[in-house]
Amino acid sequence: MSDERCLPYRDNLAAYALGALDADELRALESHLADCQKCQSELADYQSIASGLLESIPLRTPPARLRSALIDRLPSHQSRTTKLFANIFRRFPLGQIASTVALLLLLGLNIFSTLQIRELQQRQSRLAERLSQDQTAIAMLAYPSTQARPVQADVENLAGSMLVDKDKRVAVLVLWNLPQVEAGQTYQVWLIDSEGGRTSGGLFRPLEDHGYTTATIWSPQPLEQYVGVGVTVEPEGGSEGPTGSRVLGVDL
Amino acid sequence: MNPDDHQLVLRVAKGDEHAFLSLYDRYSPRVYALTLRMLGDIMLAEEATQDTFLKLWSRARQFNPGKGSLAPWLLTIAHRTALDRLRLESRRPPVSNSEEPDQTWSTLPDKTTLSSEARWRSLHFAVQSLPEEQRQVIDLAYYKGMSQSEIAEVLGWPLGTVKSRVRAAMQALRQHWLEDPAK
Repeated sequence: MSDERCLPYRDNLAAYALGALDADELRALESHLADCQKCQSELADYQSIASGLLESIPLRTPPARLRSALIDRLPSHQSRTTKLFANIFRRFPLGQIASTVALLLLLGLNIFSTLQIRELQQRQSRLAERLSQDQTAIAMLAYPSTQARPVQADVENLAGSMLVDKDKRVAVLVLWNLPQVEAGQTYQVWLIDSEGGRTSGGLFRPLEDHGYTTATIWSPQPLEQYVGVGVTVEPEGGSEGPTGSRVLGVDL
Repeated sequence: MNPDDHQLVLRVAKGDEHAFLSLYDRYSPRVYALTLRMLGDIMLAEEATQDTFLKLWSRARQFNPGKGSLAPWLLTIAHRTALDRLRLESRRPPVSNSEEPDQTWSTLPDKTTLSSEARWRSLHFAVQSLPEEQRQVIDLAYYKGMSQSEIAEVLGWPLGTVKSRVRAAMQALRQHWLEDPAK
């Protein structure tokens, strides 16, 4: 390339080596340098000087704390936790870790949702049962021959009535403040005949967060054949005969 | 190329911390001197020096001894690191990604002769002997990372004056370089 064409660029070679050219001049010079050996050669001299300027500064010993700080940044001096994570990230690519985490999150959400749905279904089932018992109680109240017999409570604060039609085989206990039974226990209704025999009239548990409990009693015989009704606490699943403490009684 | 440097860098590339600290002990006075010269603050210079050696630790595999010695490669990294810090402080765009050290230091002459220290010392004195206004522009351009336009603005000089002083200073140093019997 001729010296004339190089003239406007040669003036910028020194500033280029120092990194001091403005953007527009920089682009123009680099374009020229791409095919000008003469300017490349002159630039090499300036770059040598620039490199020399980095090395020509009188030495300064850094403070000892800098070496210590640097050592602390080296892998063997990092905390075990950091190294553990570093090893995990080294052994497993980030994408794989992210996928695994996402999968575990989805799995966790799925399990959580399933448990929630099961809980809701159980609650819905209990509410449906309660509704059915309430409807039975209302139906009995509407029946002309239904009588309300007072409950004789054996536990504190318990009160209520039993709706009964002695000609029929169904009765409903309506109870307020019935204590919740412990896990593994249930309330069991006993139909008491004139000879003191006990026949199971069904199992029930109070609903949580409800002030009252309704329990429908399904009798194998017309209720007129019994002299009374009792309720005891029994193991879950019920018993052949009363084994637990009596909670209440109703005279028929 | 100092063969010891090459061996040490190879060991650093394999994660040898003792080799790394040997290189630190050997070159930290140069790196620290440069960063302190550029940043003018002890804490900033310490940070830049630490960053430079951490880059050496992580980039040791990229070092190619066939292209030159370790010192200019390392000092170029230190120069860029300090410039980035300066630009960060003044909210100017960083320079780190503009050019890898290989692209400049590959053109440099080999400085493996025993006289290299004497040559750099000679260059230092050559810089000191420049007229004050020429030393000033070299300082602002190379050690403070300013463009010629920025220098003109800072010093209140016409841009043409700045350009001519940069050129005159570098030509004088080039003349000194070419005539240096140690070269």
